[in-house]
Amino acid sequence: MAALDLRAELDSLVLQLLGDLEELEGKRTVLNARVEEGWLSLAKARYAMGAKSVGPLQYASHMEPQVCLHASEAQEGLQKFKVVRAGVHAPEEVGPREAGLRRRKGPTKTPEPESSEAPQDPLNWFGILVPHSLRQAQASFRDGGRRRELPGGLGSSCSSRDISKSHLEVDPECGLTEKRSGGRAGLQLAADIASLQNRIDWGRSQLRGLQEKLKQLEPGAA
Amino acid sequence: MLEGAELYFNVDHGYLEGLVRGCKASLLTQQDYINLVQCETLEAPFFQDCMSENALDELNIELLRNKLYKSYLEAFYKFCKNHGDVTAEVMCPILEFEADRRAFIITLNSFGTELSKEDRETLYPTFGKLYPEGLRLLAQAEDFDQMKNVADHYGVYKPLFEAVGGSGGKTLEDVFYEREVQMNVLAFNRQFHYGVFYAYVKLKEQEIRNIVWIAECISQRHRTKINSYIPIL
Repeated sequence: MAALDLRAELDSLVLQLLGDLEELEGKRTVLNARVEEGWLSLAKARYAMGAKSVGPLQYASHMEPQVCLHASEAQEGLQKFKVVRAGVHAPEEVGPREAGLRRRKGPTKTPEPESSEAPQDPLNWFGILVPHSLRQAQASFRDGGRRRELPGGLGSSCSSRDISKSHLEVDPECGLTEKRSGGRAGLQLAADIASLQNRIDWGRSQLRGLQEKLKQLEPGAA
Repeated sequence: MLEGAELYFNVDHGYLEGLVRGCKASLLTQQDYINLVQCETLEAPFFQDCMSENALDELNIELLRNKLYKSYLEAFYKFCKNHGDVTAEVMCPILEFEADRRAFIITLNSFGTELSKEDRETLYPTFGKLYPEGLRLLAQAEDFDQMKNVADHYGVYKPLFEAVGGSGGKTLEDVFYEREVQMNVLAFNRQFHYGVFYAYVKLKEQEIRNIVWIAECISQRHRTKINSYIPIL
């Protein structure tokens, strides 16, 4: 009897896992398409403005992120990720920001509660009169950033600095895009993908646990 | 390259461009900037017309940069015209086209920004086919269609604007680059003038743009788009 229950539980878990995987795959393809679009628009902007006008010379090496990612513990020990726009906080909410994951190389000093001015739109790094392709690039990255999966899935063992550093090292120019994708709505789906990945990992560990239990029960029943 | 890049760019772009970028990258304070900009340089005369803006926010830097370019272009045009002879015959149309192109591109890029129409008008170079009526009309334009209406008054620009969009997805900048290449290539048909040097440099710049585009297409795996560069024949 217990074996039957376990099997049923196993089946439902597998179904949920497969559903999550499918969702993840779908979001990943959309994300990749948008990011590719963004990079192409960036190349077009570079063609129109000149190769040196669109590159790391245009921004300072230290900057404040427009959007932050907050990690919080939900039920069953799973981590949930929430996207919060910088500068819109009430002073009491500023505290947890240090535990939050930053998507940019931002200074990690304690943010002052009084600093409520919104960070500058990254498009203005390139001037006021920017070509249409650059705006398109920003829009693509904003939408694409929504679905961006942080590398390797997110376990609670990853520190925020590791994530931002490794992500930027993997693709040095990606830092440029990260800085440009400032939309809150944009990063929300990125958070969703990360949560999905977490759920999948958790589901797999549950699956293994259940399979062990089943193995123990089966010989006993026989 | 990441941290030190701001320190080396002025090798290619000139002292004053370097100052502006230094300000943007927060390497220089406003006071530093004001002190440094008052040294005598090749570009100093152009700066005198534009140095009323002391607040260096994004909009003013952009205005400064564009006014500077406008002064340079006008001085260059006057120089070519005074030189006379074949050089003027070759260079003046090229520079007039450059002035008109800048007017169109500034207008196009200023849609949806905080640049006012009056400010926009001060950035247009005061020569070229569009000067003065076309520029006045252009200053009032609020979207691409109105700009196209202005261009339709000019026989040279009407076909260019019609080529925008289309099957190849050409932008206005692409179309203008093509026309510029045509004019620069024709400069080599005349003999004993200085315009060939200018044309050569501009064509080299286009070549560099083409190469960078092809390299980007390859690295982003968009091999189908590789051929949308402007061939120089």
